[in-house]
Amino acid sequence: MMPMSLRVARPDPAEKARPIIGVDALSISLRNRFGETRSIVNAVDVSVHSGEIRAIVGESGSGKTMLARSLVKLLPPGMEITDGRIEFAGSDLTAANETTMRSIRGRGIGFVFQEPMLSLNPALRIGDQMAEGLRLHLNLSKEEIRERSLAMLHRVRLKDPEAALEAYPHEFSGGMRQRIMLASVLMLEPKLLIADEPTTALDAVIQRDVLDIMVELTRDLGTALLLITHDLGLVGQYANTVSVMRKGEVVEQGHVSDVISRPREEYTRNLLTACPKRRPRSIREQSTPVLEIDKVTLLYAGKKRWPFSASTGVRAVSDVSFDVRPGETVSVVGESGSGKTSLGRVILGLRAATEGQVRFRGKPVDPNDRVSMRQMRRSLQVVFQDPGSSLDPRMRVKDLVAEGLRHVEGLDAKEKLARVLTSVADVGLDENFLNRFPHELSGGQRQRVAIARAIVMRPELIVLDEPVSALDVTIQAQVLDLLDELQRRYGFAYLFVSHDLGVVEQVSDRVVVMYRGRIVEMGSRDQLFDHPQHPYTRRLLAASAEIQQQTDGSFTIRRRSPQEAAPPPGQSFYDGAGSYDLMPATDGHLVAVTRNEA
Amino acid sequence: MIFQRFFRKRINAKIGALLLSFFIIAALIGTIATPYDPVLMDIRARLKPPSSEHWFGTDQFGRDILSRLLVGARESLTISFMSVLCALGLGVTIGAASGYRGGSFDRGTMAVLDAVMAFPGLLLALGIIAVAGPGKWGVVTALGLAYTPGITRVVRSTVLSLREREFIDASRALGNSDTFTLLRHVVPNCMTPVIVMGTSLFATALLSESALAFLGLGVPPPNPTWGGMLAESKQFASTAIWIAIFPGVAISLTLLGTNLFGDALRDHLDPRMNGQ
Repeated sequence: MMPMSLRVARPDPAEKARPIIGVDALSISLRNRFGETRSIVNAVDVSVHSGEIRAIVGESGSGKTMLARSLVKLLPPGMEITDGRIEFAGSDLTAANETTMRSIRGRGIGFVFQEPMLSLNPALRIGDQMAEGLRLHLNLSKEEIRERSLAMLHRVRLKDPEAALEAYPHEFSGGMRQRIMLASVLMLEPKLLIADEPTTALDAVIQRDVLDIMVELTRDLGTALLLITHDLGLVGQYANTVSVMRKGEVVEQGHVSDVISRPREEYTRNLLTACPKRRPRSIREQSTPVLEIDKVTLLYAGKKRWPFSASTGVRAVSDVSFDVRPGETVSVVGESGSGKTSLGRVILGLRAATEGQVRFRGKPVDPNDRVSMRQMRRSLQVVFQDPGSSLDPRMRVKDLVAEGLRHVEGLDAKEKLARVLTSVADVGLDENFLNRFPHELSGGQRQRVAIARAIVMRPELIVLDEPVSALDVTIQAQVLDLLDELQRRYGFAYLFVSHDLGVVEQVSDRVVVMYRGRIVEMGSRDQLFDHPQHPYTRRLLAASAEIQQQTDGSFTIRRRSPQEAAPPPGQSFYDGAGSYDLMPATDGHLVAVTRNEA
Repeated sequence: MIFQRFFRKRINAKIGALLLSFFIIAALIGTIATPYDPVLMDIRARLKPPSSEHWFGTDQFGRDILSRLLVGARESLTISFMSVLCALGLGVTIGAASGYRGGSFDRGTMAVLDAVMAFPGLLLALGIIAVAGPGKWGVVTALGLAYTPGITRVVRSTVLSLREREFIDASRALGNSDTFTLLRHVVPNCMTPVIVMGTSLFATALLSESALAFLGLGVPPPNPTWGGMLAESKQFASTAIWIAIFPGVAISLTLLGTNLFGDALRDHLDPRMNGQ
């Protein structure tokens, strides 16, 4: 069974007869310029009762966002409701006009969007923005508005609500902005809150904080919550009921405990099995490292206040050392701003290290030495996060894959084509794809093309910069399997940069945890996941859910609860201030401790 | 087919293409043969209204207006086209290099271009013609240079945003040189706004050519251009309105054609407008 900590106070939704919102056989289609229509949502029934948290889970293109938007009738141009009823508080919204809808939006149904960076107006103070809704829907005096805003900002645990009212959105981090968004929406005490992927853009630790606050507040205010997400881990931890959507249809719905642990539908089962999980990895012999990172520091130069004055730089990477051996997968994990991507750029020679050195096959990587860089790049390849952005939109697949071969001497056109064909086949695509453009491919296929482009050179090391975080779970699982298979066949070493601990747990031999440009802990995968030492590593682990398949075929989702660990005797864990040393906790397992200056 | 897709349900594309091809054909005819010699003066036939002999009438020197319009089409369209081409060539080169290199090179070029942009386009063209001398190529140079800063700005800002895209890093990570990356990956991807801007500049160039001719700084007489014909007609407009009307209509219709076509092109190249 799952831990019930967050769900105890909820009344059983099934006992309340009348739902707050009831969607009955709703269909939505998209009409294009030529008058052709395509079905986006097809005869969907969903209802949310008072006090219920319902999750709608699905992959991209499942229609979950359009379903959510149709409830407040904020569909993008071309989308229209073609059939069905939406009943909210006893009235039919499909027939409601714009005036009625405006009185319902905000006051009756609140909406929180995915991207907190975009959903707050950068030109308005937080206080003014929060006041907008109150002024529109309630007749309150200035003082009352201010009082309510302050109280709400308190409840979302913003540090200094008084100052926040006077501040602008850019002064807050993504997590804080999403809390502000939440505060301003819930301040109107809507009966229903729709949250469309509210934490997808946030780091794992912050994601958990925001969701905890959201669930706590909706419970206190008696607001029903419709949570749109792609993340089954979140569903398992926070929702009471779930509807699984696929290609515009609800394939399965019911209580979370039933749907997750005993899925009836094939698709739900696929979703669950596609979630990354730990797999045995063969232990390799110790050999000479292919990549050595030796005390690398990267300083981004800041603006100079005055001419000739010293610039105030930002330390993106600070004194980082580790190595990668042939054929192994080393993961670098950390949240945004931890310096993991900057480190990747230094390793690839796209940026020069300010101090320290990266050595590839014993030779220093130096972006200024063009000749040796060009040779090195044949053996040092990269796959980026977003294949939509890393593939030139104007080139065909065959040209994209063949591009690197320009730098391999002595290949004629025939041999090049043969190499391209092999690589494309290696990543599981066939010849029909050769003449396509990136926009004609799905996300997973694009990432396969990006991988083919990297392996066509037969490199020794591939830097994988968040290679699956832009993909749906089922596609993610396929791409991870592909990477694993290629590694076994060709013996590539992978440097896997990621923020997703689940994925890291599945693919890594060794893991490096970075925090604010420094390594806080490093060790083999099992050491790190089973016996995390540093408090930051433990926080990261605690923020991620683990989906396990039991021997009887049922599934469980649980939060990880790593045990406390004590620092080595006479030391304290490094907390970001001063210098630090990496101390061995056990064999090969290093953890950062504050350097004793005495 | 790509053309069918472009023209389907786009009335402005159809009208625009029709008007433009009409004038291009006229220009081609003008190169091959005209009913009369466009520069031959015939004092006996001066200021004749349209008739079966002279379809569009004659001007103050007895020259056949239809013949002059046909030849003028060639001149005017070439001047506009060449000056746009010149602006595109210069603008794309400077803009791409400046945006991609960045740093002090970028700041330097942009400062110079800002200074150039501070002059109104026509005034700048006037100055350049004063230096380069009037005539067809003088006008082309002047208009081309006057339009370069605008194109440069557009290209530079597109390149700046492209530079952050991962396929540029991907190209460098494959070992490609900066020049190759720029030519192969950056420039082709910023052509969409450039093409759209080019069509609208074409219309502006056509108009500016008329304005320059009106000021007596265009192609010197007796060679006909539409703008020149319009300029010469001003003394006789009250008595022989046809001298002014026909070149005026030709200019207006070409402008209309270009603008309609440009609009359709912009819609077509904007991915959000492509009905899926």
